[in-house]
Amino acid sequence: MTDAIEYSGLSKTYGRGKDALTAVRPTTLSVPWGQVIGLLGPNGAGKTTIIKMTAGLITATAGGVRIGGHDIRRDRAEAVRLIGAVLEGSRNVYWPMSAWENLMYFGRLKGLRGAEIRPRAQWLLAELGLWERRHQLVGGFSRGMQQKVAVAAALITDPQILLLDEPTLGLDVEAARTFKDWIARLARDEGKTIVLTTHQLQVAQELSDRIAVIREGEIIADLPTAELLARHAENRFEVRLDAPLDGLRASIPDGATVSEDGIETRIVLPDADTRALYGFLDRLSDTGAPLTAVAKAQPSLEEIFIRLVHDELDEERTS
Amino acid sequence: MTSRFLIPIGNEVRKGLRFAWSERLQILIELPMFGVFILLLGPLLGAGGNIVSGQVEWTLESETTSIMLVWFLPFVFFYMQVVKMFWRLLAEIQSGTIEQVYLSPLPSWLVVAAGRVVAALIETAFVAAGTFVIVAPFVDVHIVWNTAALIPALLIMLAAIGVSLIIAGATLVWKRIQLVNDFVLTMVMLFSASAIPLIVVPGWWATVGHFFPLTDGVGSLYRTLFTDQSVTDPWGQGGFVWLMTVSLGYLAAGIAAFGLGERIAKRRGTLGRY
Repeated sequence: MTDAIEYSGLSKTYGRGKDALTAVRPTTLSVPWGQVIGLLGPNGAGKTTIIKMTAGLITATAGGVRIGGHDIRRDRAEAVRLIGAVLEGSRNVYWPMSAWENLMYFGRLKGLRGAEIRPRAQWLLAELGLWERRHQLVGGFSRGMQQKVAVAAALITDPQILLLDEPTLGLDVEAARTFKDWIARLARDEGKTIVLTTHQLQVAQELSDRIAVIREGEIIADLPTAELLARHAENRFEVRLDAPLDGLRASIPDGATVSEDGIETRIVLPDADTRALYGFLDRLSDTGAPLTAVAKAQPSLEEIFIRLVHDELDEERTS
Repeated sequence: MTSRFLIPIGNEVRKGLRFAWSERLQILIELPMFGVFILLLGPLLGAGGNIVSGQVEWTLESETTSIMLVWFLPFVFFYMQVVKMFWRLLAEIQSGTIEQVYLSPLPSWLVVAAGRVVAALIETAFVAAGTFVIVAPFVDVHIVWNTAALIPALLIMLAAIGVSLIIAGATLVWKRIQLVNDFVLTMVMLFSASAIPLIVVPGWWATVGHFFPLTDGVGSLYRTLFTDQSVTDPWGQGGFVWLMTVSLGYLAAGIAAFGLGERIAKRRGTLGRY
């Protein structure tokens, strides 16, 4: 059985000559059916270019993309039939039309008949809490609601593959959480294959089965999320104080890292040396510092991402 | 197979009409302008000598107005077709919805080009008809309908579609080409007027006019509706073969330009970038 998405030597260079800009270096990668892959990278890393080449919206300079075994250029119709996309920075849906009109429009645009679209549109709008407002113009919706309509439009044909480029961009905390929960449901309950790009690494960590980190058009790490976290796991303790550090600096063990936000202080002891921890806690106790938490901690995906992108390029190159 | 093509075209027409409805106030403001323009132009067109001597008679003369309508209505159609195609496409590029449209499994020529062409066709036919309805109560429009006129009318439509596709292809690549768009429309308006016997133009003007998309179509409409000439008679404006060549040439150029613009935009990655 073919994979959901296959990139073979896929690359993209914009422009020619001395103005040429390589956005994506030759990339070979496969995404199995039902997998959620997070494409992470700093701005300009090439994430959006990969997403758009996957959808056939940008022509690759070399190499190719196969969607469910269909070449995106030679067999475009069959390939895009499998795809739904929410693209970054785009409206994705028509603001002068209602949510209902948008779903009917995009359903027909993808070759469905009205009778086939209506039940699915009804279900999607109800699921996303938009049923009561289905006849209102999308232009009058909040950003979160507009994004929900965009997702519903992307799902109107029940595609097996979802391309989500910065889907939580500009959403408030609550809307982003609702959105994230819904994506998680799509992956878990409906087995959708999802390619997700986001700068919210917590979202990526929670949703993705696999993480690919891109820097300057090159994939520098490509591992299952759990394995990526495990590879960078450290035995360390984290101590939190409900106060600024001020007079406590002398008490901090060698090698510890300190971060302060003016209210809370976070001290990370680099290895799980319990003796050092007890000694530090004793010194804190003497000063009466307000201790709020002591926990064994692992680096977050955000820390790993920053390390990968800035520090450990050579070690973490994808085999 | 037929429904495979009709559903997306119907979809685009529905969307076009939906957008036209949201722009209804603008259309209602524009529509009387077209009528007023032609009513005011009637006493002036071809009356340069009278204007110079200050002896313009502000009367609405039936024959002049009728001939002007035969020139002006195709131009209104052409204008609206090109303008609507350009601005709607630009709006979709600006907002980014164009990329979602390109995610359709249907061929892009069908949804991005043909669908919009038909949508604009229906809207512009409505505006052209509205202009006629506004002018008719003020002056006795005397046009003897001849079925043969459908041939030049169809060829005018094909030429207009061709030009709108050329503009659309260029819009996909260069985006902000309003000035080029306006320049083309003005040139077509000026040169196509040489096809009606109301103004006298220099020989070079008439010759150049033959290469513009409306000139021979308007000339042939005039001859079919106001003279007894058959549609197959070789017309003074260049003849039937030339009319076919120009109209179908613009259509072919439009299809080619649109395809080329699309390929360039995809290669540059600027399909949805403004």
